[in-house]
Amino acid sequence: MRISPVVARDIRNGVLIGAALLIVLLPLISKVSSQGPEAVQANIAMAQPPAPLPPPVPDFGDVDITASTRELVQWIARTGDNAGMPFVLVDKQAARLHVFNATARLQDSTPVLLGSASGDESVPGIGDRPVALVQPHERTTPAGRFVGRFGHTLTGEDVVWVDYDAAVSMHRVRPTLQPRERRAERLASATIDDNRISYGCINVPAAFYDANIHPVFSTMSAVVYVLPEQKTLGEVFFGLAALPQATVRRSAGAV
Amino acid sequence: MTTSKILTTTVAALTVVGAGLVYAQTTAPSGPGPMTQDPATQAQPTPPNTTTPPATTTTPAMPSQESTQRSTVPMTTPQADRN
Repeated sequence: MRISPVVARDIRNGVLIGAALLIVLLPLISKVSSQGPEAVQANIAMAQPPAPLPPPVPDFGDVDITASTRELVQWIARTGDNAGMPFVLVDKQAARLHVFNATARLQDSTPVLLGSASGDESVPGIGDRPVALVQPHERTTPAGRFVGRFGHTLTGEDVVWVDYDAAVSMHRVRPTLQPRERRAERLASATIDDNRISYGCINVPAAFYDANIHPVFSTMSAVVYVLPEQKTLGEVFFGLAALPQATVRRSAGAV
Repeated sequence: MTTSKILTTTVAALTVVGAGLVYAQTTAPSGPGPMTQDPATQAQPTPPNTTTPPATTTTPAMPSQESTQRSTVPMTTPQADRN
């Protein structure tokens, strides 16, 4: 069978056209096939900016909390100041401690004992002095934001260090250390004034410590916010002060 | 005559393209396969309400790490506290 020259020329032209098409198509096809469909879809997804998640909504349950506590927790939730960590909030004026999870949901709440002196600062160098040498007016529980860490005292007792340099810790109440101080009775009473008895540490009922404090801090760091009693929230938490008050109030209502 | 010419050319071109694609598919190095992760490095599902940093829709205000009281020092050494 013989092919006419005309047909042979048409076939040759077709081969040349096909070769040209292959030169164009092959790099594109090889690139797609090497990535796979998942990678292609991932590339498409990555090109789209992720939708921002709304900040968590604080949940206080049915616990009666002060306006300052509510304002600070709403600010923490809105700004993510707790950096994804659970947090503890100590309301000195109410002599109460609140434990929140990382999404600002209140886990539990308890009365606490606090430093007997009113004030939001620690005297410089107080952490280096024996506790017996701490003067009555120096027995303050400092206000501020602290990253609490699990640790131990010299007696081997486990505590949560709030301000290590100032020797301020959060620990189970020690009713037998100074029996005349009646710390357990002070914790159990309904009044607030008698909760100011410590040298600066935060005394927590033992059962509450074991159930809510120890499990959190023994496994991770968590933030401890101590509300001021003499200063304003804005003076202690500068970020809060940086927000226009109108914004704080509006946001508090929205959250 | 013209139709026959176009048909012949098209068939020849498509034959070459098809053969080239088949050849490329069979001779290409095998791809990485499905994406798998070392079990040790696989991301674990985050338990709800634990350590997920809350994303915010607004730029956070100045973090309160700048507060007047703060503590970031290591706290590993036992010491006496203020009771």
